[in-house]
Amino acid sequence: MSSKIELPPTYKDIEDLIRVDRLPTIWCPGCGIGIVLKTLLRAIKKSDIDVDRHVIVSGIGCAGRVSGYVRLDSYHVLHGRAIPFAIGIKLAKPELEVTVVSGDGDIVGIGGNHFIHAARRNHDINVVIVNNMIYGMTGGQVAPTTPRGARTTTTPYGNIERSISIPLLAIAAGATYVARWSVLHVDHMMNSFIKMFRHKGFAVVEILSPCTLFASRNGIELLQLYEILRRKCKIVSNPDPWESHIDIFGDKPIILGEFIEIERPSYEELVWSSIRG
Amino acid sequence: MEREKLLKPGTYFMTGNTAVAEAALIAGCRFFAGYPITPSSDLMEHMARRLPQVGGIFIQGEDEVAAINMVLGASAAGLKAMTATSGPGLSLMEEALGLGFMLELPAVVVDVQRVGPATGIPTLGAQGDVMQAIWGSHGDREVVVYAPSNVQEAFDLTIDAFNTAEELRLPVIILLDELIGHGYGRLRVPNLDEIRIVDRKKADIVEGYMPFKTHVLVPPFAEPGKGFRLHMTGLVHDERGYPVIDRDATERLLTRLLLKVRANRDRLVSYEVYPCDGIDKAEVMIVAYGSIANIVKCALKRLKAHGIKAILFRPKVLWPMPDVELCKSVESYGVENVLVVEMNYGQYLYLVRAALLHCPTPYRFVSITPGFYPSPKELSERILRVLS
Amino acid sequence: MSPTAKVRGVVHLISDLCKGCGICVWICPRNVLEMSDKVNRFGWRIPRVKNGCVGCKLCETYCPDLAIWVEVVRNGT
Repeated sequence: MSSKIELPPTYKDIEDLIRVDRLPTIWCPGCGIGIVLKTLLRAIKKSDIDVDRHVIVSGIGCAGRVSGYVRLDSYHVLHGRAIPFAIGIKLAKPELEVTVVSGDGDIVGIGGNHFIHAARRNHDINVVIVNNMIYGMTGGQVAPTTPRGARTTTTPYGNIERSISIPLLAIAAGATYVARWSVLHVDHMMNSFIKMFRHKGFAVVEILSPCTLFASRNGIELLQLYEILRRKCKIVSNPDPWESHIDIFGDKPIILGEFIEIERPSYEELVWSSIRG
Repeated sequence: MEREKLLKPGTYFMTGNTAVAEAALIAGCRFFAGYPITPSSDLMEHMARRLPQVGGIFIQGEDEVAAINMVLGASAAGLKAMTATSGPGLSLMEEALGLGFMLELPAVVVDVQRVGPATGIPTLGAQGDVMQAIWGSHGDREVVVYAPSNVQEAFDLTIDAFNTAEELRLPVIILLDELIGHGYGRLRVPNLDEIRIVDRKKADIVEGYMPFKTHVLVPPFAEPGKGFRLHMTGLVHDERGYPVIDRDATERLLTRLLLKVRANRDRLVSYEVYPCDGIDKAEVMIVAYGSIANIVKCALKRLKAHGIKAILFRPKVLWPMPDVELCKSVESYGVENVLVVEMNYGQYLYLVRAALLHCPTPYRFVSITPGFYPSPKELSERILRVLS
Repeated sequence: MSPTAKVRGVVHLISDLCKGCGICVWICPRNVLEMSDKVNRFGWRIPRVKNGCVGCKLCETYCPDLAIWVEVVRNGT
């Protein structure tokens, strides 16, 4: 970028956490990932953990590019393998605060097996899943989170598969903090990010984010997708995971909230206490 | 202190898998992630018991892909890390070995080979993973592949493997087979301070430190949590570690990564000519490695009894290949016939054939049915048949 | 008189960061923003600010590209 880009003064608080020299970002106009990025960085700044102890690991996909824009120790690894890589770092250096930031396809699609077992073992890492319900980076193919009936490049006649509910999967697998917000719920998102940093154990924060490919494939404008989120999202205190299935075009409300917040010894705590005896 | 928990100097009688595990601990390995697979599970089990005793971390992943990526994560955090698997597992790990190469992360992967392809014969040894070990991942990737042929070498080459991984900052592979892995053999362990142990060169905080900016082949390693604010990406990246789509940056990065092994070829190559003395002329040279080379050594005596003077050329490091050295031996011993003996249907054969382009010599291939080790007598008879 | 009446916002746009996605236009509760015919150096159409901004900062909060910000001005300050 030839001209030196100046961030607005209101971003002074996180300016040193952004690789400003790499802006503007690669994401499409209107993509919600940018909102997640700046909220995450604000949460990192507000967390009582030294910025140099935060590590971001991301997989492949649009949300996977987050690691390239944060001016933190960051690793951009293989598609679906961010979680095991992050676990390797956390096990080796438990004093680091390790956060995986990636997309729905990366985490519960190709990376599903790692997601399930990392939750089961309750590793002390944070997983931010930006769920745009499609494989965006590769042009808009169907994902495990794509609602039934939705059109994508690989479901030209409408998706016949039932989509997965990330909160339900996470809880069933053993995650001890699970929350879901949308990119329109910045304060709740920020609060969950701060909580996940403090949480000892496997913390999952799913963020619903409109994708322009998902919108155009289904014959609507991107802003109509934002409108759907604004209208249909319903914040519920201790929401029922069984109600968390999303049917973006149906009339059922999209349930947001904190699905679970329990304490269970984290894997790292157990393994390190057994070594130190 | 952890040191007393390491294997004491002395002579032991143990399996190859155990020797590899103990050598790894001595080399400084403090992280093991694996997944059960015959015939390497016992190596993992040994690590499960021993690593905590030396303050290391052991974890069994949900699959081989998890295991190797955890190893890379631990290595990125600064630990010496390894995994052990067999053919099928190595196939699953290949993509991650490419990532380890691109992020320049030291790691040691042990492949205790079994009969393939597919499930094959899990309990019987073979040498069918040579090509996969050397060319397994995608894109242009270099690797160093070790092939011990007995328990002592399983120990020694594991130390070398960790040193090379740390020195060159890349994943390396040790190829055993089930016979060496599970077979008992003699192991002499020297005093620990006699063993050369290498640690990766660490970067220190320097303003404007650029993780991949280097006039040397191997940039100093930057650890997370030290304020480097480093970025490591599997995308082609420039000196700052930023993803970039640019011809020069791509050329600079990929050639540097490849040169780490290719420019150090002479230092990495390691082989044995057997018998090393008492013979200066040999019309036959047998090329073999790993456990099969031991059987060839016994067969040489029988060939001699049949009036055939033969030598064994045994690479200990399969890759980079000792091609120049092989030709030198062909010329210096006046070899007229080269015989490649492998427990597969032709893999290292292709490299030997390529090497012989520089010293054209008739060559033949003796393939041993994977899983079924021939007796020296049987092997010498097959060799005699092939030569006649 | 509602307390906000005295509050006024001045909307600033960093045109080099804007991608013309229109989220700010959509989310502004006072319809102070509208897409203009001007184009930034990447060819994205950028928004234009009419008056009437009450300084609620929703556009700033939800801009994914950190391209718009609001300077809140309290009358009499």
